[in-house]
Amino acid sequence: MLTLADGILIISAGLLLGFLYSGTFSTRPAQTAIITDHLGQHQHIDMRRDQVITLQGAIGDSTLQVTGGRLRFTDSPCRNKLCIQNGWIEHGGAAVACLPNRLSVQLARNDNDFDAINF
Amino acid sequence: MTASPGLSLQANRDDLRIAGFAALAIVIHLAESALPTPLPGFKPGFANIISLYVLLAYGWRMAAWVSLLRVLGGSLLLGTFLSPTFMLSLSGALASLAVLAVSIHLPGRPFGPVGHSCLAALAHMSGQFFAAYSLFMPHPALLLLLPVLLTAALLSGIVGGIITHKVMQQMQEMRST
Repeated sequence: MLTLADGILIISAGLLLGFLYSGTFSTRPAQTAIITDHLGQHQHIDMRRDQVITLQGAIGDSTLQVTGGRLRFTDSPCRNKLCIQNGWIEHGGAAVACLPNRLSVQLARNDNDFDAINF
Repeated sequence: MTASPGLSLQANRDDLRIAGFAALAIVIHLAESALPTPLPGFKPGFANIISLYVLLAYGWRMAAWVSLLRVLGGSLLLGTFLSPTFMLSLSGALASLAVLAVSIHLPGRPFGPVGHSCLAALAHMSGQFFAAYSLFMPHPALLLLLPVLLTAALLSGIVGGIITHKVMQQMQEMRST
């Protein structure tokens, strides 16, 4: 029922699909972080440079650390320290926030990744 | 009937065949559109089995007629004529006809029913997808759907090809008896 060409076609289509899947769903590291502070102002920082940033929030100063394309809160004046316990974020679209201090950080690639898509 | 000479229509054997196959394809098209779809923008495409059978039995020109009449007739009956659905359906049909025009005329005809069916299904989905992308939703998020839709198209192409193969076998047996 299948000719040789049919078999080759199906296999190569399957391989092409595998390639498409890996290209579509692989996550690449974020290039910038967008910080939103308690006044609603945005600030962009470069994720490719290691740095420690101190941010002024609603109840005090929080500290962010950027190392090797990853980012985390290292210090915050909040009570529960959830932002610190959240740990490292590194993929585009990932976010971390300190609600008491009203600071949030979202990572972005050049094209922003989506956290959810709905149809 | 006394019709003026300019209006007299002579239906030859090919015209009648085209009409019959197109009617069959439209019925399948309608039945299919009543089924709920597992994926947005996806249909199993069993109406294309008719086009594929016509392609293999009677050639590309007749298959093009049947396929385009199916798109037109189906859309008129469903009330989607000239709507986005129709545009997608038409661009899919045109893309698959373009690919089939090449694949059926390859020297030595290397592809069987399953091969033609897969090529047509993949071309149909790609044509439809890029029409959707360029005309209605030019959003990069849509591209995330492409591999999933193409997988579905490949599977439905294989199934459609197998069914077409069976139909051709049956028709040959009927002719030989």
